[in-house]
Amino acid sequence: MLTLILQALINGVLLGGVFALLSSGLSLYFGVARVANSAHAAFAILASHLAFWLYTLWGIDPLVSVLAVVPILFITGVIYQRILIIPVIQQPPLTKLALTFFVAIGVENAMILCWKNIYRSIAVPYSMVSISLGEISIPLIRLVTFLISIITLILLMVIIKYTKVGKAIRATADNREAAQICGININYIYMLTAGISFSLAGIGGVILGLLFAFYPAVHVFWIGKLYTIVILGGIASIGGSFIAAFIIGFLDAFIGTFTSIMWSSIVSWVILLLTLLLRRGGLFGR
Amino acid sequence: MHSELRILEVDKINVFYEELQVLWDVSFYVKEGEMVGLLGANAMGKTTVLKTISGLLKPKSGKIIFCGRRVDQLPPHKIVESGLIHIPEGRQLFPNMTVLENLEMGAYTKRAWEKIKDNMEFVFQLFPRLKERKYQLAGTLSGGEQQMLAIARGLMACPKFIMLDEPSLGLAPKLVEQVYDTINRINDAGATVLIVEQYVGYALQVVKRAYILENGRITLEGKSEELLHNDHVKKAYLGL
Repeated sequence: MLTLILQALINGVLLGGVFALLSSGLSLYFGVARVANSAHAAFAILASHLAFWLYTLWGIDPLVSVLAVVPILFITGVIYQRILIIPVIQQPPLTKLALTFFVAIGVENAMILCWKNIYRSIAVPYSMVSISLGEISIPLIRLVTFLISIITLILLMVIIKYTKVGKAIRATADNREAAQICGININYIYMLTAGISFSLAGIGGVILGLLFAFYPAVHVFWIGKLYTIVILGGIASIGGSFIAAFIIGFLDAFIGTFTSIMWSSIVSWVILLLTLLLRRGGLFGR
Repeated sequence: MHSELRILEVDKINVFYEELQVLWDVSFYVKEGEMVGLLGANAMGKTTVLKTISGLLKPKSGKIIFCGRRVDQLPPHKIVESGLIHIPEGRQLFPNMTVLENLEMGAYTKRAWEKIKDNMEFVFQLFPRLKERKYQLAGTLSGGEQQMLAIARGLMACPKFIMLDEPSLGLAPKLVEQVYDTINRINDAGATVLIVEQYVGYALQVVKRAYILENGRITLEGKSEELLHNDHVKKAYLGL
């Protein structure tokens, strides 16, 4: 029993790191540009497929091809902001939300058209390797993807906290008009933020592809989970969603260990509902 | 430092919020090196004038010329680059960023970033209080400190022209004096100044020339001493 709990705890940490990476881009984009991007997970799943095809067709390891996926997603994010979001930026939140939702459906359908709505997984040779510590076993791939997630998040934090452009991103999030009269081109900052957010979705998507089976329509499952995390953490609070990601990671790990993973979505939705009903600002929201 | 050159010329601007017109044919000018007041009671459109000059709002008609160049259709960051700096009323800071970071953002343009060290020293000399609170979040400062930070942030931009929105708002009388002292020094150092102020009597003692804005229209203009003796000003603003 103790082993099981310990195992679940470790799984929870490893899963939480990946969730944190996936949700960071969502809350960053919302915090800066006030766009609740429902297409976030759809683009992540697109990245999973890109990694899948690069591996299947040319044998490029996803841990290498991610270096190509990131710039592709970055550019996609910039174009997304420029073409789709800027024209509606002054519109009410619901308009933007509906727009991003339809984009998500569009991306899903495009993937289905190209590749059919079937399960895929990226079976790299090391996907079965585990590290054993007594009775506890840690799948190597989970450890590696956890480390990639954490390193990416640290890098993101350093950029946001210490670089000039990172400070401009925070300034824009903090007070849009004040940022403008300081000489910050906020449309540029929005596009850059979208690019970063999509890049994070790209890395997260490649990692999802390595960890789980996926199919085009699975983004709906993931966006539900990611919204749960960012709303629990206080939407727009990257620090809050980081902690919430680990809470959900632990929950999923324990549910997976002690009952069926089938329950994971339901528990997520209940948490989402309870947060919205009882504490709309989230655990760490203002 | 006075010259006859009009560094800023606002020519018959009409500004709307959605359908509602808030500025009507507003025209005025500021000569290089001058310190001019744009005065009037609350909600008369003073802040709207500043927001339109700094590019946050676009006039439906009319022209704004700064340093001989039309700026009324430029985005705000381009206007900042030309040296026209808007110092908004004190709450318009970056509350979740430190004092230091707020000042850095004031120096965001390339031109100002190169002189960030000197300017930082200058504003810390001007407001030693801010130096003490360098690492404090702007949102946790007192009202007076926030006002100082807003002014200091504007000065970080190497301004040729500064527009101050209610620099005395919410300040104790002693601080008001200090703030206006500072503005005078900045003006003496060569920057042209436009001050928006609702304390008309006080402002008229500081500026040389002023415009009175009422219900979105310029109703009076002139030298301060003339305005101080104007019957309408006396009755409406000086309580005489």
